[in-house]
Amino acid sequence: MTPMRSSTRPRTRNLVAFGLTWVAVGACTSDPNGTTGPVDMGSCDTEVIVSADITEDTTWSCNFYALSGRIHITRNATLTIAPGTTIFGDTAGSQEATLIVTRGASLNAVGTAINPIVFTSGNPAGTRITGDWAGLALLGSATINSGSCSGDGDTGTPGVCDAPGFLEGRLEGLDVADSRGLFGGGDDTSSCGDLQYVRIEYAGAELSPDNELNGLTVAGCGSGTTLSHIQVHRAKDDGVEFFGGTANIDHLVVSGASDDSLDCDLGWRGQGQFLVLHQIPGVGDSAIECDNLGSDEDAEPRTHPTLSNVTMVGTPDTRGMVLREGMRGTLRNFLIMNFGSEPVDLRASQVDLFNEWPTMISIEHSFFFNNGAYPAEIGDDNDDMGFDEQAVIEDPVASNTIGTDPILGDTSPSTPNLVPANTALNGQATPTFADPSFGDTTATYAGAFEPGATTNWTSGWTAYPEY
Amino acid sequence: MRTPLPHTRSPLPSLWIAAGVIFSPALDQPTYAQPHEAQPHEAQPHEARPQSGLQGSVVDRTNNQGLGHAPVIAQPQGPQAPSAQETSSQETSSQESNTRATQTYTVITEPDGTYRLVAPPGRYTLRAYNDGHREARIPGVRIRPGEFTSLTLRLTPLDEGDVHVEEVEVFYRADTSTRAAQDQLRRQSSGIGEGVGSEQMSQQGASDAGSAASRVAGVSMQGSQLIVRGLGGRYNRVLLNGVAVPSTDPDVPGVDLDLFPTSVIDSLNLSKAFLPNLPGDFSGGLLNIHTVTFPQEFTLKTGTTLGFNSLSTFRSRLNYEGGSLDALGFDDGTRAIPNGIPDQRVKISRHGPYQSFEAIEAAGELFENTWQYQRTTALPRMGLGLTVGDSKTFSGQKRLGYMATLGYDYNSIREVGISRPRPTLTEDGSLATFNDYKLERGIDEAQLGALATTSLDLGTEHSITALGMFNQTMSDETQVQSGVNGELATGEQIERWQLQFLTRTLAFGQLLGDHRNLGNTRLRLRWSGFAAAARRAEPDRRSVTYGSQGGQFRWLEKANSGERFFSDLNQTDLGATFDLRFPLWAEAWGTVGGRTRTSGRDFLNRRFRFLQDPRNTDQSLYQAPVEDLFSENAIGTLTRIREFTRPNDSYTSRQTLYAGFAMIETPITGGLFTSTGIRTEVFEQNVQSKSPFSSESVATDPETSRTSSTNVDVLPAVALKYDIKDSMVIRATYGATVGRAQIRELAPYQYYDFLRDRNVQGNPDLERTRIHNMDLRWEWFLGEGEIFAVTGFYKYFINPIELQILNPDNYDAQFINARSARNVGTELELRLSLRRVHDTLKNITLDTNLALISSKVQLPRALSGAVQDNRALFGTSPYVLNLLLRYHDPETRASLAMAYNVAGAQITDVGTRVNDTILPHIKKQPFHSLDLVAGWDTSEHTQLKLKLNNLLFDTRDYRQGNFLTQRIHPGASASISFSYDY
Repeated sequence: MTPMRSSTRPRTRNLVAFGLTWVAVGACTSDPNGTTGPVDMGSCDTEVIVSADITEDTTWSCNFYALSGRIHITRNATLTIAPGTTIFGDTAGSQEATLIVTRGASLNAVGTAINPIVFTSGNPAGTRITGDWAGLALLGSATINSGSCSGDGDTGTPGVCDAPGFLEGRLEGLDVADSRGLFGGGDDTSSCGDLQYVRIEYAGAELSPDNELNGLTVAGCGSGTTLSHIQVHRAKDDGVEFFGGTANIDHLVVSGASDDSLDCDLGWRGQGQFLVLHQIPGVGDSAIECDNLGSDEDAEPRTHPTLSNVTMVGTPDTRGMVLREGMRGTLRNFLIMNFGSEPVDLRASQVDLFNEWPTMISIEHSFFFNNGAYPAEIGDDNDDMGFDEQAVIEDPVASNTIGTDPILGDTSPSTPNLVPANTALNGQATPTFADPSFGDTTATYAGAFEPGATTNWTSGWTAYPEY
Repeated sequence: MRTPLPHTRSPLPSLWIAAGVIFSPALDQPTYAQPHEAQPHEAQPHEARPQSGLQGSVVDRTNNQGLGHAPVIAQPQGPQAPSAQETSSQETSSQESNTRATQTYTVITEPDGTYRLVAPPGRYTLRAYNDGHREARIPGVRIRPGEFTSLTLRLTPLDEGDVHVEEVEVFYRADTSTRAAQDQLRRQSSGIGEGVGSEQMSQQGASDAGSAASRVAGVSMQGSQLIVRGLGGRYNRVLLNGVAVPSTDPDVPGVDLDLFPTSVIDSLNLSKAFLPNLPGDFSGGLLNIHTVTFPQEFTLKTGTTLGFNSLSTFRSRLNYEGGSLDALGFDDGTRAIPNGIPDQRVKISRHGPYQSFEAIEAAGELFENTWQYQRTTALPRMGLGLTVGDSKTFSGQKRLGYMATLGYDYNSIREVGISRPRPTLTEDGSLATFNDYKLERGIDEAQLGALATTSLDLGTEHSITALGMFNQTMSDETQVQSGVNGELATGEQIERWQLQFLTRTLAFGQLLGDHRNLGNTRLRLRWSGFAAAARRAEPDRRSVTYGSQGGQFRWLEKANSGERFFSDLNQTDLGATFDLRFPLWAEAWGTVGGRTRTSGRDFLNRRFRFLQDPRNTDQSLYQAPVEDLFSENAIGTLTRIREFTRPNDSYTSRQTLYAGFAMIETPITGGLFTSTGIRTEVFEQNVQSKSPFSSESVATDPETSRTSSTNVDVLPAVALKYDIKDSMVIRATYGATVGRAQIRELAPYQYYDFLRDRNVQGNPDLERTRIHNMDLRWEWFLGEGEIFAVTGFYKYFINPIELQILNPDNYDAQFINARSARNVGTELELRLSLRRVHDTLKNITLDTNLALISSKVQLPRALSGAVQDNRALFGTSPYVLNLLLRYHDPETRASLAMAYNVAGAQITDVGTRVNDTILPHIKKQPFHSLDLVAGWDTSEHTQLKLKLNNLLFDTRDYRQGNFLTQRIHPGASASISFSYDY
């Protein structure tokens, strides 16, 4: 049973939420055996403090929940969160607040454009800053390309693990003996849950020294996972990081991440469409950093995302993307702008990029504007055996457009409108995904927004507060 | 020429000498007087006059064979001790005027039964005792000036009839500080072990219990921690007068032996084999520190030491601005958590006191803005000591005495070296440099110690002793590492430093009672009660890292950079013991005893870290000096404070031990003697991780936040001793013992090791280790102070606890149980006077011992990452060698000793398997220590001593495979001490 406490915080909720409260009370009382209950009628008037792992199917339908420390969903349980719910990463907890969906468990957090589900700092509004709480992590049982071999499949060869064994990794920062941090398995169609209209703000506190958690960690999640309409705002580490697996993502906004906006490694093979990676001045690394595996660039399964309709807006101090360590990728219809360093940097020490490009890795039908120069990678800086990024990107075969201003509405951190006015961005590639049930093939423009559109998909459910 | 005297039948009933304890005859007062010339520092006044005394032999009356190792006591006759109605001041003066007449002198016979006892002229009653014989007593023996009176003492063997005689067991306070007495104890003991008396410590130049113990066979020191037969930490126990001393270091098991300066030590006894009356949780060694008791007459001794080090003294040395009481070993509050910081998390929260940026800014500004290291000139080492003691007789046979000692030591140290932590494992299995730092440390050390003991002897059969001890040690260290850091871009420099102030306080009180011949039944009851309070405080450890980022050399926001760490550990121990010893039949004795001890610990940490204030977007501003970043101006614009105290940073724990034992000591046949018995220990332990803030909920998972266990262990022991002849003994022992996990190892708490830049984590699932110990020893007591011994031992460990590197990327390590291990070894010990080689070398003694240990560990198959090789048990050295050569001239009372010590490489971190390559173990490399000690009694009252340490200028190295991960140069040092005896 989850111990629950009521705080004395008065209810502060609008009428819409008030209506939902009734639903919530009904849900709580109708599930007396659930780990959230029994909850008395008054509980939903105040915030619900969650201080123990969720071990049975549970529904959160009150208005406010506070994660007091590190909360795991375990024993294959499903946590369902009602639309409009706010979850505080409770900084009063002595452990950095985290919600970890362990392998086999599931998170069902489906909000709406009007009533998104918000994971945010436990600070009062106006005093929230990056790293106030740790973040949200989904751990699944899809394949990854590195780790220790589970079961009896150990062959003694690195990365080779015979069935029924499988490679499994461990979420960084958790105690080494904590099995709740394990991810990876053999089921690429498995699901970590369903997240729609979810906002994750001010995450990135350290789970252990120098081990910050990303805003959203998707580790070993299979293609059954739904990640749609997700905003990660002001995360202290990466915005979203995929560790292996096959989960797809669409309609993503990463705003103001302190490290990479989108990171992937350990063999991620997901598909992504309509992604906004928006950096703010003073912080941030690359908008995209994608690896296969440093110690073995040929490790299988190999990182190979298929991404289309991506808008990346950088700062004078940052780089567009780093693609390295044997990763492959099909990148189409990108808009890459305002990066003070080079827009694209490929690196490899074991695989031969001259063979990989463009059959295994390529960036095509994309717009590049107001980016820094490609540095001369010579001597110690030669990190790709002499591969010339500028030449392949600017090669007409790649159909990329260099130097055309997309004329975005507003690139400021707090009131962004990244819809381009320049219709020259139209007429790019037809988005093609291996899984036909995923994606919108009509989006034949560069970037995440249709040029000249008067409405956009970020309206209503996203927010860009500074503190 | 000897004058045969008719033997005198003892008027007293027969006297027993029990294993391990010298029981000697009742005297009017206890005595500590020394007959040996080699005891210039003892209470006996040195007088420039011809020597006089007694000589002869102690023999068996029936066969005239010499009886070795028998005490011979000359008790003065003549004026009686002052009566009780005299005032104390009168006592003093009468005591002084009768010094020579009231002094008692003892000596122990050579193996062939001969003795030579030096005593001033006068009339004495001479007594001698031996195992299995009745006492001999010769009253009215006269010693004339400048003459040695010859006298043979004949002892009558005990026979059947004696058993039924009403026997009185009587004693005097045996002097155990001399080598002869230690050898005597050793010979008679049924166990396996060695003793070191204060006489020996002085000769070897030992300054504390650690350096004294390090000369014992098979012993080496790791820092101030004991390693016996290659086993460290949990496998050794330290007792103070038979009572466990609380550990004051939460991170390292064991007791710091530098807490005990030699001035408070009468003798050390290291038991290497378990007997039922000993604690059951050791395997390597059990070191019992016996503190000094009161002297026979008023004693005042004062001394001072001045020391120099080749790398430190008068050199520019790292330090930082501290507090006004640092030099005394206390923090004056400079480093305390500021008053305005509440007992609540310093972090903005919608609950709690910090609701705004302004509130958190004000909190950050409360902290002292001292971060920068500086350099000052290192002072020489300085030491001061004062010892005072006296005793008085009253009401005939009652005597009350005291001894108090006060010491202060200050040292200023500079060490240089290299540190290359966390090397990277390459594809071919070799290691490549990841971090490459130059390292420099400036350390101030202060120690303030006081010990007072008072004893009341109620006649010959009862004594009560009270002991109080206080010790404060302080270490104030500034460590700077600079060089290349693997996390930065190639070739980029980093500078990281730490300011660490650490104090340890130990207060210890003990009450001991000893009652003989209770109800005239020969029962002996010994009891003790004790209370101890220990504290380890580490206030305001600060760490900072500067490095390259974005082409700028600047302050880096990361863990352990801009961090202030406060740690406080408090432990309270209470306990009591009793031993009841009673005669069974013939020469058989039984002992039953009980022990109880409860120990509560409270460990509290708080961590604060300065982070970048996200409102600042100009990263170049972080290039400013550190005290510009954490100043009042900068906090709130450039930086902000946030508390990072972790949920498992704090814990409370309780350990309770109940033990009972029964033991029988009896001769079996011929020279065969056994001590056999059984001990049962019930050990309860619980550790509860908690938040330091009552307002916060405890850690979310009770399974990992709490560990609780109760173990009942039945521990049998058998010791056999066979006297081949009087000077030659064979012993065999078996004992089952346990090794318990330390709280630190069980607590799911992670601590950061700055030097090695990694985290170490406790493991609540650790099992205790069970150990079967077997020893076989042959000992030959060649002559007084001479010995040759060969020992073989075998130890089998079930579930030994080891520290394994679990994450090869960052070297984070955790304690684990291996499946089993076995240690097989041999010890050779030789102490010899070189007069056996040539008479001109008669003043030279060779004292050497060598231990060879073969160790092999078995790991559980399921342990992931385990390196399945034939490695030694964690922390076990393959060999330990001690060599001491000592010259002592009794004429000039000058001495010179050369000591060499080395222990073979031992694993400090167990390596791990990374796919198909192996990350090697980290091993501490042998340190070849060569020291020289010279002493000279410049006058009757003054003594001069010169010590030279680490003459080989060796370095303390750690290697991982062939890769040198750490090297520290301690330099060579010299010290000169002067002491004055009143």
